[in-house]
Amino acid sequence: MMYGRLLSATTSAAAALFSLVAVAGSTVSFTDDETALILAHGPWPVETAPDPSNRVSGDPAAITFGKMLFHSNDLAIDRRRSCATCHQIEKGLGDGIPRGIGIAAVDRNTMPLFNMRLNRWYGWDGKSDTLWGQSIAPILDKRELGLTPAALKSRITESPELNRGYGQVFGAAAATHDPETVLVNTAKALAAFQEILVSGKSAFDRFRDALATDETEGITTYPASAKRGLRIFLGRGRCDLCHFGPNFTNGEFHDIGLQPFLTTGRVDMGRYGGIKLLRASRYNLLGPFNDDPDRRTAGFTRHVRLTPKNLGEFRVPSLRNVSETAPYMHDGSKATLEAVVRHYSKIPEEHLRQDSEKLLRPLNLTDAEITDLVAFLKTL
Amino acid sequence: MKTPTTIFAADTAFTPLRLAGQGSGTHAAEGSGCGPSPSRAETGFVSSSSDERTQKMYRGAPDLIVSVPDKIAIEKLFSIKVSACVGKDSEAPRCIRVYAGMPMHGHGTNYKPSERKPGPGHSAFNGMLFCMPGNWNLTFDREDGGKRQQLTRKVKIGR
Repeated sequence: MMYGRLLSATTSAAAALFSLVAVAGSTVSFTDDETALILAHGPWPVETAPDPSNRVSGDPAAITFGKMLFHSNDLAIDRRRSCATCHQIEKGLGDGIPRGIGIAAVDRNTMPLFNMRLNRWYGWDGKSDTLWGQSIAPILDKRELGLTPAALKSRITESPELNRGYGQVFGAAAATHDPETVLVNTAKALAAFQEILVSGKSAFDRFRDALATDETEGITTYPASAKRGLRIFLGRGRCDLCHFGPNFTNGEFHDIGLQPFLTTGRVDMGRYGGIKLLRASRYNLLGPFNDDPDRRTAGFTRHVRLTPKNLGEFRVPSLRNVSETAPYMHDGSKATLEAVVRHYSKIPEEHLRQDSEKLLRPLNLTDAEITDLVAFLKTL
Repeated sequence: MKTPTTIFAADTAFTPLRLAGQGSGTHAAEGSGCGPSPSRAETGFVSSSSDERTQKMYRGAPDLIVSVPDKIAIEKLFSIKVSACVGKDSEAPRCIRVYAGMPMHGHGTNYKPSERKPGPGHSAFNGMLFCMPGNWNLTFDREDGGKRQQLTRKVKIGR
């Protein structure tokens, strides 16, 4: 599926270490340690297996049906929007505005839908532990699509196309299933489609692969400014402590010192609220709709810990395709990548709680360093 | 004479963990709480004989012996097995707890391991996770009656 940068079906060659990567055409070179860190951000794409909690994950018929559902206005109570309204291809599978607007405004920035199979938590607060569980939320949320399970069943039954697609994937007409089963099956087909939205190789990946194979042209064509930014990312910026690995995220939750209020008097609870919602949900991996009888992927859900520290924590987003997914942060408060970097450069201490990440401290970057770090981010 | 009776993992990510508290007089004794560990097939943990390097790593008899997997991948759940060493006339500790934390960053792990007790003085903790590369502390609490002993081991986790 060609969304954003091209999808690639194969992984690159195995990584190798080099004594020193001298970068011709620029003054930037990387030490052994830096090279090892760079190589750890690939290869890309990462091979994934079907989701065992979703019996139609990877099923071509489910992917086709899921795509149909994703673009169908029948999933909205007012028939004036679909999933694709807020997850637009030309806007990095987001919507380009600070906070999403469905039937009504929502509280957070719309997350892009690239590389979803690599996540273990979904949404800014991780209230879902599966992509299909996350896909249920906007269908039911009155601010987004606003259907009830019964209304969804009616919509699918009434639509010849959707009814046919449902029957082909799930072996029976929607009319024969109870509304909750139709809801979960719909979400699982939507997940099967979203799983194939994989970002393709980026300029960084080509540079990283060139390092792995000591291919001079690929190393030299990567811009010098991006190389300097990469060095800051790995070194002084310590960005890769959270944004590491091929998907540039540790998949966990942190408080990065943003202002906590949604509106005056309303605080976004972040991960604290997310864990509570996760535990209360029937649609988590410990619930009755997990298709894997062995619950092989339920370990994180079983062991996740709820503490006051989770207040104000939000998921570390992947940085892949980040230049295409503005505005940034869970509240959409940073319009540009430069604004994001400046936040970390002059992080407001008054926004850091005593139990916040101690690694967060103002980086005090120069304008030139900010430019370099942004140049690097744009190559992801 | 100290008798190492429990086995530990030896790998590149972890040094073998034999944790002894200051002035501890407890003694690893055959048939006590520090009896032979279950085999790898039984526990999923790696077993290896103590080697010279290990022998040099502790002073005095160990209080806790910890078995860890061969390799701990960042972002992957793993398990730890802990065995308490007790003297012939002592009882196994009432309670053993384990915590993981990054002192440099001021946070712990986001996951709470579940505990299984194969026998007195033995605990297996499932659901541990290191979510970030860097220096971690694995801290073990051993509680015997009114006495609480805390033992910490530094662990470096790579990417």
